[in-house]
Amino acid sequence: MRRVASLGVFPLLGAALVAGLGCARPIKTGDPLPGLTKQQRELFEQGRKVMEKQFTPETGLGPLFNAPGCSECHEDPVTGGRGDESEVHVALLRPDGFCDPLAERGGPVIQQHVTPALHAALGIESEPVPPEATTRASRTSPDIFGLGLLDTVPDSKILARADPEDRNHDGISGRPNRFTDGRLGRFGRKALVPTLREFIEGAFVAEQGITNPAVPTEESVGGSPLPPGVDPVPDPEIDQKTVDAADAFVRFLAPPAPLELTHLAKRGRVLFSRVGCAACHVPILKTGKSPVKALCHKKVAAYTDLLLHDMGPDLADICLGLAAPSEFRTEPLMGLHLMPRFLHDGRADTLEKAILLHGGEATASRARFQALDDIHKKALIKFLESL
Amino acid sequence: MRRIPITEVVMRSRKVSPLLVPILGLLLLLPSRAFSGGTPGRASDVSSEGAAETLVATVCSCDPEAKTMNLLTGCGHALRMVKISVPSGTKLARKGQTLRLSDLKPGIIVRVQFRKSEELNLAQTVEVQEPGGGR
Repeated sequence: MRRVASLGVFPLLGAALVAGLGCARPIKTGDPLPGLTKQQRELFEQGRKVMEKQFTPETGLGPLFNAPGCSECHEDPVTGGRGDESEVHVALLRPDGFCDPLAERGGPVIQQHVTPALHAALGIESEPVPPEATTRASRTSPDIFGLGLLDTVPDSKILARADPEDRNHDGISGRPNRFTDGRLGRFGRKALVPTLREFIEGAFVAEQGITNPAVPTEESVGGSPLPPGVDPVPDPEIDQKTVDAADAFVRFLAPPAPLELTHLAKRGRVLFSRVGCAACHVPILKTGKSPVKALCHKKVAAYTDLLLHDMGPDLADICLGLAAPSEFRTEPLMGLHLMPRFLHDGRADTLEKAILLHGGEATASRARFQALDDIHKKALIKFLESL
Repeated sequence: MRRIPITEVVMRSRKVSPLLVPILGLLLLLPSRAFSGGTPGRASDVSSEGAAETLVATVCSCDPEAKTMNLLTGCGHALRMVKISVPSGTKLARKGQTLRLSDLKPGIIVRVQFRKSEELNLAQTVEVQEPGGGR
């Protein structure tokens, strides 16, 4: 009897220990960051509704757009995840070396859909690609998890890793992109956009044709003004509160929790550094000061340096800002286990293919990967599949 | 090229009266909004300074004969072009040294003070900026 009674104590003790240690619920994909205030969580939920709203021409959609709602392209496996849509970006690389995003001709984002009213007025199905464009790019819709943490990394931490002249002779020369006013860029495949807020404000217009207080003007149709009567909703089409809620949702989305490392994947983690991947896919970034406690002085396993690197001629497409056609921002690898396709245009359907498509500054790392035996290659891939 | 009136690319344009200065000073002492994420004021914003406005943007092209320049600005990937007229007598400088309009090559970042006059954006001063400023 005494024995049974004592055995019964163990589960109770276990429960008490768990409760006492404050065992946190594991973060699920699509959850907000831990440590948000009640007010911040409420704003996050309001933002989720904005993200999931399907706009119509009567509520501001278009006349040119890529999708009627944010979650149309950021949806899998939950709102904020990746999408299977691709979009078109263009640029003109001028003979004087200046990268012209063809803003006065409707670029750099070429919208793939138009509202019925614009179709009726102009007979077009999508925005025409400007004839001046010398390059055209396809862009997949990435997930947007953990971007609030990336937004909080101080500029100085990013610039400290830049080595545009490759002075340390390691073959890696990451350099910063700059926005049109000279500020450091970090968002977008070419790292043009300095802040998450601006990325969101610009995306409302460039992706959905929804004007807002920061961008109160519609995109032109290949540089021509909109025909009268095709855009009935007065600008701005959404208010600041709506933008703030969408910003809060994206800012507070937690990075997806990585999968548990198997023994093989642990070996792969070592190889990730040894092969040289970690020179650009920097495993940990640290955030700076933030009024949001959940973002302030945190480590984020982003696997990026947020700098531009030459990826070689095979991947080259458009220029953007200071980014040459072959330069891309190091893609963050957090949430990689949720991705079915890889690289900026989704051309690789396996991680191994994606690695083998790395050129330019990554050529030496690629060669080291190719030189691995099969079990070590598998270990590295297993590690990547856990991120 | 369609000329885009500067009002179309105004981003939070505000008129600043002298009375606002102490109020703004007080506001600076208050805590930031919890969800703002520390977003700084944008240097690319067009803002009013008295009757003049200021824009920091990249030179896309200059036409010394027509005395105009096209500047690239915007927000995120929603980029916009602004045409600025640079009449004779406009002060153009880089680190205090006087420049000509033809010296403003594409890719250079400039801070332009200008006034709107009918359909034109008339530059008053144009100063070359070094990249930087941020967080």
